Order: sequence, then C-alpha cells, then structure tokens
Amino acid sequence: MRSGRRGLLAMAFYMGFAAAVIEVLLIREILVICRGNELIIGMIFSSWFLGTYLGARFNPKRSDAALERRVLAAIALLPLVMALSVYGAHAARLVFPLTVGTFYSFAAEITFAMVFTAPVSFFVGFYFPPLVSLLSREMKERSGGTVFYIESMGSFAGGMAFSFLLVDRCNPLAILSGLLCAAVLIIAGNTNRKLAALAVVPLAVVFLSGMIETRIFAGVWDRTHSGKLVHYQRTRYGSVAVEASGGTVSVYGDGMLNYTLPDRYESRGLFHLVNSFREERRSMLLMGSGPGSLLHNLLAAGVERLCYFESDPDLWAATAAFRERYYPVDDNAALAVFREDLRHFLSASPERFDMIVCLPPSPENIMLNRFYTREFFSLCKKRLNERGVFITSLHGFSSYLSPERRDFIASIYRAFAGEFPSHLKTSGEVMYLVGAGPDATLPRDADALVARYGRSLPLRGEGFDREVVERYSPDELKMFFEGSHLRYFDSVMALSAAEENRDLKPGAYWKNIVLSAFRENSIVYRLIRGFVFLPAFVIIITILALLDIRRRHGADGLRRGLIICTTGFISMSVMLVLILLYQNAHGLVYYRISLINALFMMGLTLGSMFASRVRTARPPYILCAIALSIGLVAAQARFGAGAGFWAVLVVFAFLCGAVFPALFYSGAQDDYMASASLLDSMDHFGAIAGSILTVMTFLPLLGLHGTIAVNLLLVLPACAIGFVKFR
Amino acid sequence: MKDPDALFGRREFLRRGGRALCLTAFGSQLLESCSDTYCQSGAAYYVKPAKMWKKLGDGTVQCLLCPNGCQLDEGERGICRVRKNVRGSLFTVIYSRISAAHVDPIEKKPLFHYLPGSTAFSIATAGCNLSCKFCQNWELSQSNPEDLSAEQITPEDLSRRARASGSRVIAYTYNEPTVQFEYILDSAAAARRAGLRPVIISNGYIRPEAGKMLARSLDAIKIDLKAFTNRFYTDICGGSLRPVLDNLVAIHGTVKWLELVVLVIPTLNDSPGEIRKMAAWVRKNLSGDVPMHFTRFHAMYRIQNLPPTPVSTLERCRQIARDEGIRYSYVGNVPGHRWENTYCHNCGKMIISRSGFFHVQNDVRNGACPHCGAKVPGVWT
Repeated sequence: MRSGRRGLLAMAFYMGFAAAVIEVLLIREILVICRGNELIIGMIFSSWFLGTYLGARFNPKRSDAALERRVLAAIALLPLVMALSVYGAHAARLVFPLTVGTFYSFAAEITFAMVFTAPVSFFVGFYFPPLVSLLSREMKERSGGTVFYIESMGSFAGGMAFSFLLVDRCNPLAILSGLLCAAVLIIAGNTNRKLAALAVVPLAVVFLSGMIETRIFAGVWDRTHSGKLVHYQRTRYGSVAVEASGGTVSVYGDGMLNYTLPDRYESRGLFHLVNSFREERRSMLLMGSGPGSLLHNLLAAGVERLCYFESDPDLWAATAAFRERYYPVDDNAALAVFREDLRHFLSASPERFDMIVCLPPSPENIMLNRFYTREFFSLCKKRLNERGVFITSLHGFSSYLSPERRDFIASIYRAFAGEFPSHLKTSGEVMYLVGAGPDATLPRDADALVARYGRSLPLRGEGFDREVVERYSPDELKMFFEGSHLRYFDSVMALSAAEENRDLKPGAYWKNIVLSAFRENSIVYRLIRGFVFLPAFVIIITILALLDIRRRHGADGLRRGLIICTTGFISMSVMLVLILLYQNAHGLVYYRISLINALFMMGLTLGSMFASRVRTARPPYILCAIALSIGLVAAQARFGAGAGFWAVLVVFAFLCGAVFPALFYSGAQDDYMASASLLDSMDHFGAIAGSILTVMTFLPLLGLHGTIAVNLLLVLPACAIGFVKFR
Repeated sequence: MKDPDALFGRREFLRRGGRALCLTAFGSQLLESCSDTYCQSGAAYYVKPAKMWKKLGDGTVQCLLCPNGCQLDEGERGICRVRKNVRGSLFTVIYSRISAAHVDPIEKKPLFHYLPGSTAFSIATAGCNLSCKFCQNWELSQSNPEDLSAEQITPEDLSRRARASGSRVIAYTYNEPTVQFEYILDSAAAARRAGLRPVIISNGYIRPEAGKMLARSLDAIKIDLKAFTNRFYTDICGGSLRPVLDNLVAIHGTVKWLELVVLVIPTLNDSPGEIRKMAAWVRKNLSGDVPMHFTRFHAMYRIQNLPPTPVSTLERCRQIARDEGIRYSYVGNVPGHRWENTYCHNCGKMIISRSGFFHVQNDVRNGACPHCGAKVPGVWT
C-alpha cells in the first residue's frame, strides 16, 4: 500500500476543502450555545488554530507506512469528530443543564468553543507534516510549499462551495456525510478499491439527514426552552428557530431571542411615544421592532409610506407563516419591506424620511454595534427631511448605573448627542433617544409633549389593536420621563470618560461584553476589564513557544519560527480587520465569511504556488511587501471597503502565502517533516495570538486604525530579521 | 536523551514555563485583591454596630437577621455582603450609605391599596441575602458596598430629602432593604416623627423576630413571594421558601398594610397548580384581603433569553387567585390591561382606574366603594 503523487495531492486538497467548510460550519453551530459576539467567534478561530498547532507540533517521526496511516486516519476522522462537535454543541444543554433563558458564563462558552473546535482542527494540523514528508520522498524534492498550496486550493474550493451552494441548502449532517463519503473514496483509492462500497452508507445519510436533524433539534429544544419548537431553519446569515408557548410565538436568531408575537401590550407605550413625535409626518423608516404591533399600529395610524427593515434579512421569509397569523400586513400598500442591511440602504439610497425609528438589538457584536455609532447617526441625520425626527433605543437602567453600564451607555449617548445636539431622552430599562432634524423642533419637556399629544387624541382610524389604544391617557407618556431618573442619568454621564462609539473604534461593543461579564461575575470579567492580563499572557506563551523551538530546532529554527509566527499573527489580525471593514459597509457577513476565507485561501494558494515555483523569493522582500499591503488595508479603512476590497484581500493573502514556502526552502536542514511541523505549527500559533489579541485587546482599545498600526509595527522586526539572516 | 546544544531540558522548560504562566495568572489576581483591600477601608461613618446576632466563641459570630444565619469568622462578611465581623462583633457597613435615590409613583412598587397616586422617595444600598437570577436591580443587590458610588444620608436627612421631593412616603426598595435593618429602624422612626410614611419592598427573607420589629416601625410592606416551591427558591434564588412563609405569617397583622407580588416566569413558576396552592395558602394563613399582583417577566440579569410571560398566563394566574378567595388580584407590568384596575370585591365595579403609573383615578371614598359602600381594604389617607 503506497499512495502515488496524485493520491497524496488529492489528500491535501480534500483536507483543505473539508477544513474550510468545517471551520465556517462550526462557527454557526457553536453559536447555538454561545452568544454570537466577536469574543466567542475569535475564541473559535483561536481554538481552531490551537488544534492545528497541536496537531502539527506533536507529530513524531515514524516510518513511511505509519505516516501514511496517520494521514488516512486524519482524513477519515475529520468529518466524524466534526459530527461529534456539531451535535455535541447542540446537546450541551442536556448534559450541562442551565436555568431556562440563561446563558453559560463566558468562561464556559470559551471552554465549549475550545472543546468543540480544537479536536476537529487537530487533524488539520496532524496530517500536514507526514504528508509533506511522504510527498517529498515521492517527488524527490522539498514539497512543503506544494502541499501548502494544494491545501490552500482545496480551502478556496471549500469556501466557494460553502458560500454559494451549501450555506442555506444543506444541513451539517448532510455536509458531514458528504465529506465522509469523499474520505472513504480517497482512502479506498489509496488502499483497497473494494472499500469504495462503504461510501454508500454516508451517502444514504445525506438523503435522510433532514429528518434526522429535525428530530434531534425538536427533542433538544423542547427540553431546554420554555416553548415547543415549531420551526427551525438555517439561512445564509445564521439559524432561525421559532417556538410556541401560551398562544405566543417567539423567534430566535442564532439561539438569541429576537421577538415574541403577539406583542400588543409591549407595544402600547412605544407606539404612543413614536406617535407623539409623528404629528403630520408621513414617511417613516422602521428597523428592529419586529413585525408586530408597532408596525401594525403605525400603519393603522396613517403613515403613508413605511419602510420596514429586518436586521436578519432572511427572517421575514422564514417567519412568514407565524407573522401572518397575528398581523397580515404584507399586502398593505403603505408598507415596503426591505430585506437588506439598513446601513447599506441608507448609504446607497437618496430617499429621505420624515421619521427614522431604529430599535436594533443590543450591540452584542460589532455588526450590531454599527447601529450605535456616530457614523450611523450621521447617516440617519442625512436621510431625514428638514423637519424629520430620529428615534433610537438603547439599554437603560432601573435604579443605579454601575461604572460598567455607565460607560457602555455613555459611549452610545455621546455619539448620539454629538450628532443630534437638540434631543430628548427617556428614562427606564430601555431608553429612547429622540433627535431632531435641522428644522425640527422638539417639545421642551415631557409636560409639553403630553399636552401636545393629548390634543391629538383619541386616535382616528381603523385597525388599531384594542390593547394599544383602549383607555389610553397621554399621562402614560410620563412613564418615559421620570424626572429623578433623568437627573441622575445626567449627573452620572458627566462622570464617564468613555469615548463616543465609532465604526472604527467600536467601544460600545466591547463595553457591552465587559458589562455582560460583570453581570455574570465571571472570571473572564476580571481578566478583560483591564487590558493587562491578556497581552501579558500571550507574550509569555509566545516566548515559551519560541524557546521550545530554540530547544528543538536551534537558532535558525527560532528565526524562521519567529517570522512565520509573525506572518500568522498579522494574517489573522488583518483578515479580521478586513472582515469588519466589509461588515461595516455591508452588514451581516456570515455567508460572506466563507467567501472572504475562500479568496484569502486563493491568495495563499497563488502566493505559495508562486514561491514554490520561483524559489528565489526571499522572506525579507515578501515581508516588506506585506508591510506595503497593510498600507492598502489602511486605505480601505480610511475610505470604506469599496472597490478594490477583494483585490487588497487577495494581494495580502498572496504575500502571506508566499512566506511559508520561502521559509521552507530557505531552511538548511533536510528533515522535511520537522521543517513542515515547525512552520505549520508556528504559523497557526501566530494566528491564535493574532485572533485573540485583535478581538480582545487591539480592536476595543485601539480601534481598527490602531490594530492596523500594530500589525505594521510587528512586521517590521520580522523584516529586519529576514534581512539579516535570510537575504 | 538530553540535547547538549539545548538551552535547558524538557523538564526544566516545563517548570520555568509553568512558573511564568502561574505568575501571570495569579499576579493579576493578587493586584486585584490588593486593590480590593484598599477599597474596603471605607468611611467609618457607614459602619455601625449591628443588631440581631450572637457570639459563638473564638471571635466567631452568627448573624440572626435572616434565615441564612451566616457564621462569620473575624473579618468575614455575610452572604448579604453588608454585615461584617469586626474583632468579634457584628457590624453593618451600609448605615446611611445610600447608592440610589429616586422619586417613584407608589404604583411602581407596586402598592395598589396604599395611598394611590402618591409618590415615594425611594432609596437603596448595596446587598441582598438572596441571589435571584432575574433580579431587576442586580447592580445594587449583588455588589459590595465599596464597589458602588454612594452618599451619606442620615436618618434625619432622609426625611428632609423626602419632604423636599414632595413625597409622602419613604420607600426602602430596589435592593433587599432588610439588610439595612438598623438604618431602617432609625430612619423610619425619624420619618414618622416628620409625618412621613415608611414602607419597604422586600423579599421577605428575614427571621420572624426581626420581621416583626421591622413591621412595627413601618406603615406598609410589599413582599415578593417568588414562587411556591422550595426548589425554585433553592435553584433560582439561593434561599428557601419556608422562612418567607413564616415571616409572612409573623408580620401580617403587625404591619398596617401588606401586599404580595409574584413575578411569573415562564416554565419556572407558572404552573396553575403552584399558583393555586400559593393563593390558597395566602387565603388561609394571611387573608383574602391581601392583594396579590401577578406581574409579567421581562428578560433581566441572568435570564436574558426567555420570552416575556404570555399575558394569557398572567390572566390565568389572576383568575386562579380569585377562585381561591383572593379578593384583589392583579395583572402587573402590562400597562393598559384592564386587570391593573381595582374592581370592588362586592359590586364588581371599577373603583380605581390605572393607566401606567402616572394616571391613577381613585374613586374610593372614605375607604369604601362609591357604588355600593363596601369597605375596601387598604390605606387610603
């Protein structure tokens, strides 16, 4: 049994393909038990690289036959372990029960992210050094670069396939069964062709996967939630679940509660608040309220054109049947439903509105943070008519503002007040901020508003919810303007040193994470509330890893390890920056992550292919070019991720991809496996450090520009080492 | 075999690496604990000798204020975070240490049969003897006093501030007020001398003796009866049910007015059987005249991902309580709902109309229904 060159290359391609698909799939599935913020996504990425690092690092030399068995085992086990991880994540709440409606602590979520991710990616690292060794012997030359670019090519193909084909058409079980089927065929092709018949088993599972999945999800959901699962769907943006309970339906996106229908009593206060500012205003843009009572009653109140936006564009279609049971408003001529990102719409459309009411979910992640930034408020102001009014909401307070909550609110409030100097604010656990367009005049206080609104009551028109308008007194508006609470708020805001929330420095997002960690009194809160522990921890771990290399591979290995580690670090960090830039411009990016990943992999493929063919490419020159390409990224940050974004992504990836082969060929030693192990493990080690520090330190502390600057500063010493030792 | 070129061997490498990681991990903790120690040296005027405790010997004391009965060694604090063993004696560290002060409508507490339409000067400190996962004021209740901003408001100052705010009532609320036992006794007496009405909004998790002392000094008490199963109290609140029931029996009849609130949380405490048992117990052991509010849950504190209680569930709870003989049962946190109004138990006509907290039309005349003349239980003047 010995695999030929083609067989070995097929294995590399398969592993790249499977890794790219599985990585993105894991993010979506693990988010079912974790909150979908960048902290957790960053930890999933880090855990992925940790597993790869460990697989590449702990991979002792053996005979060729043993090495080939190792590669084949990795190919077969990858989808199986993946299945355990995906469905293990869904079953976690059964094994580690929680009070209904609560989340695991951040510490537990991070542990889950590691436990469910690292074992899968271990095999992605584990197969690499043996395959390089086998292929080098087969081709009678150093083949590290070749394996690297074939694997990258596979990742490119996997990313494209997921992005355009698999994301909303196939469930994880079908994808995993498909991968297993391919694995069986590869193993059969390289060992015993009769084994190919076994591929029928996973193929059969592909066709039964829908039924199996539905049963699993319904069983788990009904045991761990307050209602019965009546609908589950994966969209391009995540997962949508609908549960029914007590005559209501609740809609969850990625495991987080979005809204409950009917919501007539909840909407009563908000409807009248919005309506009290509406007066004769005719056109309105509404986002984040859910398609319930507020929308329905605003239409009943006579809004002539109401543009409604869904935060998750696929939610509207996914919940149509349930929505129409309570509010059949789709055929209302005044209603226009937009299933696109609001920011993208506001940037692209010249349409102006008399009122913009934006009630987004809390800025749990940077995508949602975009609806709380100075830039967003400015955009809304531009899209208001002269007498227009803008209303937004944020988490308020009950009776006391802790420093954590104070700073969180202050970062948003300052961004808002900076754009709308003339504004009103409400008290309560949800605060509403009301800003005036250039020529609009707001009532001077709550009493004036109540008096004005009282003159327009009772409301005329048909189709109002009885619960919303019956026995309504304008005095109810006073609940939004509790004097002592508002005075307290003003006094506490004055104490906060928080900067205003910006697109490129998403302070509110980070403060929200700190507030969540504070709320659960988590150990993570103690670690992240200052920015000291994490960088210190990463620096020490990095020093230990480098000493480990110095011990095992000598001074030359240390230098190469340092350079590839830096490359891994900045490649991951800059890629996260690029994802955020894209997200700032376009909104939800889940289905684009795999495309970004794919194009990044294409760049890596081309770069590594180039460096493998043109063996004169020297690391220091490539690193200098990387520094220049980071400048292009900075330009994208300055001018917005527009034309050229994809080109910058590919160029940057091309250069990063060229470093691995260049270092591989520049090594003096002939031990291919050791060299591959060193470079592959340190590449991924750098990527771990890059993803952790970027999401948990650089972005919140320094913003996007600062993160880019840090990457630039890091690449310079690597250049210097390259010039001194590898020129 | 050891590599002669290696800087150090594998064991030495692991040892040094382990030390460095431990130093990093525990170093930050050490710094933090140092800063905590520094913070704890709070102002002395907040520290007063506590009541309701006993010495156990060897410098250990036992707090007898609440059913937790914390046994505290020198320097330790109770579960409530605000009562501390200092050199073998128990002290409160939150006397007059007020972290929140607001003017709220009395309906917000909610007290529906107590001076409707009036406002309450409402104050809070840090601390609580329970740890409910749905706490609305967790930033106060689950914090150490040193971690909160606060101002000193002496008992006399409290009455002055309440009067200046135009309030007739002083409400000890937001966090669990019974942890301010000593301050409440002093400031409530001062409030009464100044013609004000002191009330507390409490979880009722206090020993009956202490509960009676408080009840005598207060005009009204609202108790959160969080559920009617011990499991709920244990799993969700970190306490137990029996002491709350014992305390309710003790204070009923001592305090002028008592109302109960049940926050109905989907799946956790909303079963009809549980509500029926609860209402029956209230009817039998307290009185059918004690109003019960079944209020709506919204995502709060640790329970962030649970839908609000369906209104139909609240309506069902209210009906069960009525069936069990509770004459005044309400649906709460549902502005605009007709069962937030008060209907005469005798003739069934509306006698107090509410639309949110700020629109209250009180038709009760001399404590009686204006339609049929039946006496309506409550404090009306």
